Amino acid sequence: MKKFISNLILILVVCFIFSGCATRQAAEIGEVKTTSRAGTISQSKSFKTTKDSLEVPVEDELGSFSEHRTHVFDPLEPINRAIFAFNHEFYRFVIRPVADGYEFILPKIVREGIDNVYENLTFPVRFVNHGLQGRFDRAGKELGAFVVNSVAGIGGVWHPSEKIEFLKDIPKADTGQTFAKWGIGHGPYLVLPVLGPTTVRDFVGMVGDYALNPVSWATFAFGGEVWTLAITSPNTVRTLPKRMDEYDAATKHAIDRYTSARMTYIHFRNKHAKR
Amino acid sequence: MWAFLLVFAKTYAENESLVDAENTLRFAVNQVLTVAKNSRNRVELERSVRPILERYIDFAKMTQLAIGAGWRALSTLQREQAAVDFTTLVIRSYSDKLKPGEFPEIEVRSARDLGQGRVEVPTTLRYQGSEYEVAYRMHKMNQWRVTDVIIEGVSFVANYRSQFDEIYKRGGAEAVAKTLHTTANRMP
Repeated sequence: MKKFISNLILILVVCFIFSGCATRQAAEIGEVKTTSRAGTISQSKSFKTTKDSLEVPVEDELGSFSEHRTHVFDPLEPINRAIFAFNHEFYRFVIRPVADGYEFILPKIVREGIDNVYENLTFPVRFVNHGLQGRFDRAGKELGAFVVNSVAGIGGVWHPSEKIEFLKDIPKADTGQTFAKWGIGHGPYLVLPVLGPTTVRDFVGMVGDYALNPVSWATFAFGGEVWTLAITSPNTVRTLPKRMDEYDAATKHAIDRYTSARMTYIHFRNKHAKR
Repeated sequence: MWAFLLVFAKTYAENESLVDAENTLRFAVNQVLTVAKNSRNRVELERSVRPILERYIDFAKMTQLAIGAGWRALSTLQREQAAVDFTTLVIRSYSDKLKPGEFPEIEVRSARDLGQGRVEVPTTLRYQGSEYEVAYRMHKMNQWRVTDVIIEGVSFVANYRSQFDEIYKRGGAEAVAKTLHTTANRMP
């Protein structure tokens, strides 16, 4: 088992190292560059199609929408599709009932309090990543919001910082986003069992977020003793309703659920990286 | 002097046009949200919102953009059917993002010119403590009409286009028309 895990980590690290070049190339091929001139967006006429993409001349039927077309590097598509199909059923029969049950049992005000506490606790993830992105102003605001919410908000149950103009609406930051800001490409697209869509870059980022998250420190410190579940489980369960909503938004009315979830994920992360 | 006046007149007309697009969108969104607020359930919401969306969304253009390369290979009859099916899908999908009895706050910001009679109108939607960026791409025929909705960077048209591309690669235009018809008639 240990050997399998170490092999898996080795493969992911190798993929991650190469992901920068791989996806940057894919992005150059698949995306139309736009240039801004006097407030008008004009398209580059030299749109190169990949061997995978369709030949779409006629000013490309997507017209000015082309910048939203992105070629996704998905070399593991058959495996990803199989895991996606498993996840779909798993969400349907296991995760969604848990999410619905959580929303049914706990009143909204209690759920909001739980969300607030855990969001406040994950402050190091945002603080460190704002710093790594060179956004020290945002890191400072995060620190300010954390202090205000921990003290005046009684351990973060309430977020009084949202009422302070200077401290409200701080953009979120995570390790995958930091890698993106450093110019590292997505790398191969992956669908993880239960966790769902990600890329090699974001998966490594997720490990970073996990390490920076104080909620997971209890598991590290006490070697995964059963009582630590009392700290980590609510953090998982509280996010399920939102995750199911996001999954539905991406797939419910899709022609091909897999492709829709993939495009939604990549576009959403690209947008997040620009924040 | 004449050159200056011409440039001034052109800039003024362009700005007027952008403001016109913003106002059209603001009016349309308000109508949709009012209908959503007054709806008692999802079925009623979808039924009431349809005529408004049909007035302000150019479904024919949207279908063409979404289907892309496969569009040219479809017969006239297939194109008409595809437009009907895609309209159903768009209305269902859009209505699904609205909740009966609720009225989220929407801020319509300044439109930007994309050239060739097209504009993008960015909006911010605030709902239950969260903020979402929603941009509307519009073009002008007789009036400004929406041709794409981009929610948090995810283009509605481009997303469907990527799905149709995959189907077209595997089974051609016939498969595109058939899959679209099946999906539109699938119970939500």
